[in-house]
Amino acid sequence: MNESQTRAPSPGEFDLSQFHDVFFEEAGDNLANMESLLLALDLHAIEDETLNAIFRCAHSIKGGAATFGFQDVADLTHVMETLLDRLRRHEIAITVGMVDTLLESGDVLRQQLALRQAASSESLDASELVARIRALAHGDAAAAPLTAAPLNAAPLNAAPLTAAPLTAAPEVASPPALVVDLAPGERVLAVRVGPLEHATQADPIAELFEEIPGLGKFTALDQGHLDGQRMRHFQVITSSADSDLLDLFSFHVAREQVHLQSMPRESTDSVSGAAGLKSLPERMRPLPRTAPGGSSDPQLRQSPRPLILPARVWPSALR
Amino acid sequence: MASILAVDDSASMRQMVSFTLRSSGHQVIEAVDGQDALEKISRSPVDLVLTDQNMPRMDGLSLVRALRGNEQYRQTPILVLTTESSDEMKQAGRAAGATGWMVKPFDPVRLVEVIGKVLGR
Repeated sequence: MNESQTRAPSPGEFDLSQFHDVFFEEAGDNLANMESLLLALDLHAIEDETLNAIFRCAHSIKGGAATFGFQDVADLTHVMETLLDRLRRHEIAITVGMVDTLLESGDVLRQQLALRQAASSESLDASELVARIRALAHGDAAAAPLTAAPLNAAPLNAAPLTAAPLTAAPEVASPPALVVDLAPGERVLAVRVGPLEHATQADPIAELFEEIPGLGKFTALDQGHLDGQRMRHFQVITSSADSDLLDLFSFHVAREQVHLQSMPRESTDSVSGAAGLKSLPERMRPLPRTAPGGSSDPQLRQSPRPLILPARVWPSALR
Repeated sequence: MASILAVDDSASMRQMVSFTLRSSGHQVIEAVDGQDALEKISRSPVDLVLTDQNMPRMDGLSLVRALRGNEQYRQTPILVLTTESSDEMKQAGRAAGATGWMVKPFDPVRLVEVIGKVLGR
């Protein structure tokens, strides 16, 4: 990752190292410009020229970094550029998660540039971030699982999607939402689970959606990691009621650890088809697991019924 | 010695290209984007145009097309110096009428060689 300092300068009379300073100054300007453009993005009304401008910032830094052999900077800006190029070509739709990742990349870039400018032998390992951005750019299932429709084709309500709240308080950011096409009766839920001791404690929730085909479409938004608040972030597209989802989830984590937030969408019918779990016969409905601290609901604590999910009887009933 | 128009929105890249070309005995006019290039070139004609692709206001390929639409620059060598390396883009460059396509990272020695070749033909 750190051959940058050892790369031989251009031969002979063309010693380009005299242009380092102007490169760093320019890179700093580009970085600042990129960040202010990202922070000011209104995901509902993105102009092509704004995406082009953000693209050019990353592109320009990459060009100079590659010329000077600042490989770590070139690698990171290369994947950013790839993602931004797909966005500006409308091949993929922008998400808050992407904006957040690009802002995170800006922070890393700034540190990388500072190290290169100080001719430090240290380098910053950004391989995880690079892989994450690459996955986003390729529409990888783990990083950006839903083949997103163009944003203007499926406008979501403003509040959860604007970038500002994320950057104002990144540690407690609301889950990044993905832009999706919803079937009638479906809605998008941001699901936060935690605080947890281990990220894997929430994995059984993902498995529920595999076991119960009609339950909804589940997406991990966090690459399997806890955030600074020890929370995990998911998105669920479902026609099931919150209470039913909570019942299901609390088989695996305490009910108090599950936080559902509806991400309403303009002009989406969210009523029909939402019968969901409520339509199930009582005996088929799962029982919540009692929370470690004890559930506040006495009925849940006293329930004598087995905590086994009769998966096979679910699909048709849930549709 | 030739008169060369160097077009790039990046100041550092512009300076490096100019330095390289001047060191090789050429005269250089700088422009910050395609539009600026067209303005500069209307005031002082050049023997060769070297342009970046991704720039605000007017990108490199649009500049190539504009120049090819101008009788005076129909035959002038135009080199695109860019990080764009896809065949698709190169093809678009050829279709627009670019003479050559050089992929960054910028290599001064190679640039001087290519320019010598293009001007000497």
